[in-house]
Amino acid sequence: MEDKLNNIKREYKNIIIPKELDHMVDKTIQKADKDVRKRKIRFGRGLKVAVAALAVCSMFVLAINTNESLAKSIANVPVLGKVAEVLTFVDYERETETITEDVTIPEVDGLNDKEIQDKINKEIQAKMDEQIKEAEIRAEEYKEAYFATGGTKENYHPIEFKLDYEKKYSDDSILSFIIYHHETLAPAYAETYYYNIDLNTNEELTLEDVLGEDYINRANESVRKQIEELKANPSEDRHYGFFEGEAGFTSISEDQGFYINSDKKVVVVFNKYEIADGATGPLEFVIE
Amino acid sequence: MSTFNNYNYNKLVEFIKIHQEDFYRLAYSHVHNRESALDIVQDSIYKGLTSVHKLKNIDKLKTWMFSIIVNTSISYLRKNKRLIITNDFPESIERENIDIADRIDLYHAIEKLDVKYRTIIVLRYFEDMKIEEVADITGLNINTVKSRLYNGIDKLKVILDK
Repeated sequence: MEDKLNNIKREYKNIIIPKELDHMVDKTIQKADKDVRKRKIRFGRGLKVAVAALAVCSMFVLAINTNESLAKSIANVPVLGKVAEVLTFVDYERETETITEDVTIPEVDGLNDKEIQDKINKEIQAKMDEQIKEAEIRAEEYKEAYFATGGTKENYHPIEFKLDYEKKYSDDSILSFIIYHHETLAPAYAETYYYNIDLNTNEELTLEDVLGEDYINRANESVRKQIEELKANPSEDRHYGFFEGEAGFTSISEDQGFYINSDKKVVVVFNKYEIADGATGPLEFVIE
Repeated sequence: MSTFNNYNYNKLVEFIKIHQEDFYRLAYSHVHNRESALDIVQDSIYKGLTSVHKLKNIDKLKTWMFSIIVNTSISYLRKNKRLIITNDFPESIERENIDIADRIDLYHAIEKLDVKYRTIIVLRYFEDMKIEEVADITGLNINTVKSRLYNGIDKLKVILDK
């Protein structure tokens, strides 16, 4: 038996290591590196500060620029009653040797402060441009690595990249939507951005705004309960591979991704890998 | 993220680079499919790197990282099993079939073992880990690991003697 085990061990050690493993590992480390360092820098913080600064700034500009007739014309503009919307701003499909892009970028329309609206739209545009550019670079690198490691032309496929948005909720006080992108061959690069705008203040809506001061405990309790239920009653239709212990769910973070659903309820979202394995994918929990 | 623990993080990067091939083999021995094994390794190291700040005891780095590989592999297996039963995704079954040609003899023996024995035998005998480490990785107690190891070897014997 010893001998046989040793033979099997030899075969085990002889499992062919794909040439792209090394490259894939390096890229994944790079990606994780970036995500870990940048985790806090999201739409949330940046925008909030920017919005606050802009609000002060635009008040100041208004104060020196406003004359009577301008004030009158502003007053005549029927701002109220117009519901803010998220609309398609850029929509294209593009195919190159290395990448197939299917891109739909939204813009916000109908905010009662046009400067903030511009600011948000520019930020969305800039951020998505950056994501597309990075995907294109990755696709180039992938192609290079693929052929450098002996890949054949027949088996080579360009990376497919998709970027799109989805409106989640809107009324005259809240606009909630998400923008997401993903690509083939690199599931770890998929990302979702959450945009929740308080239309009364033109500020980003926080979890604290919607769930109250005790939002962390409230959300945690609800998420924990739902995870327990899912663990106790495994679903036949969907795999749930929650990580256990410290790698699993411990608490929502201050800048947890969330959106408002069509029932006007808060839905917190955990990215793929955040509290469960990759096969589980992203997870959403409605906070009652 | 409350703290960015550079020391743990850098240790893990180092560890991943040294053991990437072990990760791949371990994943492959569970799923017998090149693409799935690569996916598992990618999923696992990304998960590891983005959650290593939660690891309190750096001495556990090895078993902690290997346990992510094992858990991710087993999740894939579960998912795949269900796909085959429900027949919802014929594509993945086709992919399985193509890969059969790539399989090497080992799997005719090891593959027949229930995954609960397979993981433990691979870790103990092929990755040369201590019983304690195997216990840490699988989250089982030492006695359970031992008994599964012996039972697994017995079952393997039967398969090999056929």
